[in-house]
Parts: sequence; C-alpha cells; structure tokens
Amino acid sequence: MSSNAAIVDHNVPPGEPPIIHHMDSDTAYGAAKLGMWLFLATEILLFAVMFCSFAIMRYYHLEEFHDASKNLYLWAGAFNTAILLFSSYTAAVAVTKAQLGDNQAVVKNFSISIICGFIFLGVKAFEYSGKAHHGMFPFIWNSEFYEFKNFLGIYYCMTGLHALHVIIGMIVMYIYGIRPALNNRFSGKYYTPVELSALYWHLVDLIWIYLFPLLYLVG
Amino acid sequence: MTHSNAHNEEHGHVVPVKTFTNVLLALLCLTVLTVLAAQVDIGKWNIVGALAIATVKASLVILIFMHGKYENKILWTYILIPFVLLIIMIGGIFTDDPFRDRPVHFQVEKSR
Repeated sequence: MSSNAAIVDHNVPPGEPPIIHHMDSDTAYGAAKLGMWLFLATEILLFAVMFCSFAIMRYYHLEEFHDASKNLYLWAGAFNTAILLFSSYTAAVAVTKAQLGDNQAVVKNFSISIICGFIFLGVKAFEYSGKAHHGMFPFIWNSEFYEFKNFLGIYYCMTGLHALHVIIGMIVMYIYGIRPALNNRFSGKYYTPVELSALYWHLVDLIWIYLFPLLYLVG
Repeated sequence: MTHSNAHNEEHGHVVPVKTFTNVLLALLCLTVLTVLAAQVDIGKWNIVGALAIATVKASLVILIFMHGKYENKILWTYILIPFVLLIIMIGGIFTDDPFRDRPVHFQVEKSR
C-alpha cells in the first residue's frame, strides 16, 4: 500500500459501503454510530449547562418566571412541538427506507423534515419579532419589561441555540442524506450517513421536548 | 484487510414504518396531555408533571426513533453518560448555591 493511498475510498458502485483499509464495513458502521452518539453526548451537555442555569434562575426568580412565561404564545410553541415531532417521524422513516434501499423515499422523507424545519424557524421568527415589537429584548435596561430580564435572557439563549441546531440539522440532512440519495448511494449494506443525520435531527427534537414545557407551560 | 467475526448480512435493525407511526401518535397525544395538565394549577407539582411527561416522550424518541431499543451495552453507556452528568451538575448546584453566604451586594433576592 503506498503511503498516500486514501484511507477511505468512496469510489465504489452505488449501494456499496466505502472501502476503508483498516476495518470492514460492519466495524466501520458500529464505530461511526458510536462516534455520533459521543458527539450527541457533548451536545446534550452543552444544553445541560443551559438547563442548569434555567433551573437556578427559576429557583431565585420564581414569580418573574411565572409572569414572564405567560407572555409567550402557547399555541405557537405547541404548534412547533407538533411540527418537530412530525419531522422527527419522517427522518426516522427515511432511515427505514434507506435500509430497504429505497433512495427516492429517503429524498422525500428528508425533504419533508427540512420543510418542517423551515416552518419551525418561520414560527420562531414570528415569535421573536412579536417579542421585539413589544420591547421584550434581553439585556435592555430601560425597557418596560425590565422586570422580565432574567427570563427573557434565558429564553433567547436557549431557543436561539436550539434554532441554530435546527439550521445545522437541515444542512446536514441535505448534504449527507438527500444529495447522495439522489445518486442512489444507499442500500441495506450502506446507509450510515442517513442514520447519523437522522440521529442529529432527533436530538434537535429531543431538546425541544424539554424546552417547550419548561419555557411555555410552567415557566 | 482484517475480518471481525461480525455477521456479514445487513447490520442494524429495520424498524417497520407502522411502529414509527404509532410512536408519533403517542408523542402527539402526550403533547396535548402536557398542555392540558399545565392548565390545572397544582403548585410545584406542575413542573414535576411536565418534566415527567417530557421524559416519557424523550424515552420514546430515544428508544424507537433513534433505535436505542436495538443497541448494545457500549452504545447505551454513551447514551446515558450525559444524563448522569446532568443530574450530578444540577444536584451539585442546588446543594451548593442556595446555601452560600454571599457578600450583601451579591445577594440574590428570592422572590417567593
């Protein structure tokens, strides 16, 4: 083997796993999934820090959190929850379809997930602009909503970071799911990228499952 | 090229679409339930109930949508570690911060 030989050779027929010189495809699949879950663990810990700060802030400012969370649009949050759950469902279906070798269904289901992501972001933008219109910014000293500064700070940080993950998830599903599937890349033997990008999208959904009741319902 | 003694046919578990559909319906019902439960004021039990329902939903997502049900022990270690660390972190903060003696100008007024 020459020293500049590719470690991973992607020049294989559609549906075949890439050739990796130091492991067989089963091992590569397991290693990739383990690595993805390790990455997801760091993502959960990133949000864990925010949940901790939410908990301690809520402990000290319980009344403020109760009053401030009533200013959020409950129906918008509930609608976004349903949208994310549905997009998570289509992402999960895409994995099954990839395992069965149905590349067109992968494209279709991931596209629905991405469209749902856009709808989610649209509703979120509507909520943000409504808040901004009423002067509910975080960290503004002379706003009439200054009394809600702690809640609004946490609210913007958590939902903002989550929205960033939604955007990243949509890009990941396009690059690693839809684009290769258009070239019939996936089959029962090779569908790792579909499963891993779906895992990322499920994580986005998982975080929102906790964010929605904490921010919109109990405050 | 080395060969492990792993099975050579398809890896991973193929979950039928119908299972996902059932789980989606369950998740949507639980979302309605959590919204309804929040309308009843039961004091501090509101947040306990909301978090309990959220945990059931999260478990469904991890077990079925993310194929957690079909994974091995090593992967489950990876799945559980962040949650254990989160519990340690929250436990550490709440057994420490509320009991601190701060200089007067740093003291946080507890509103209730």
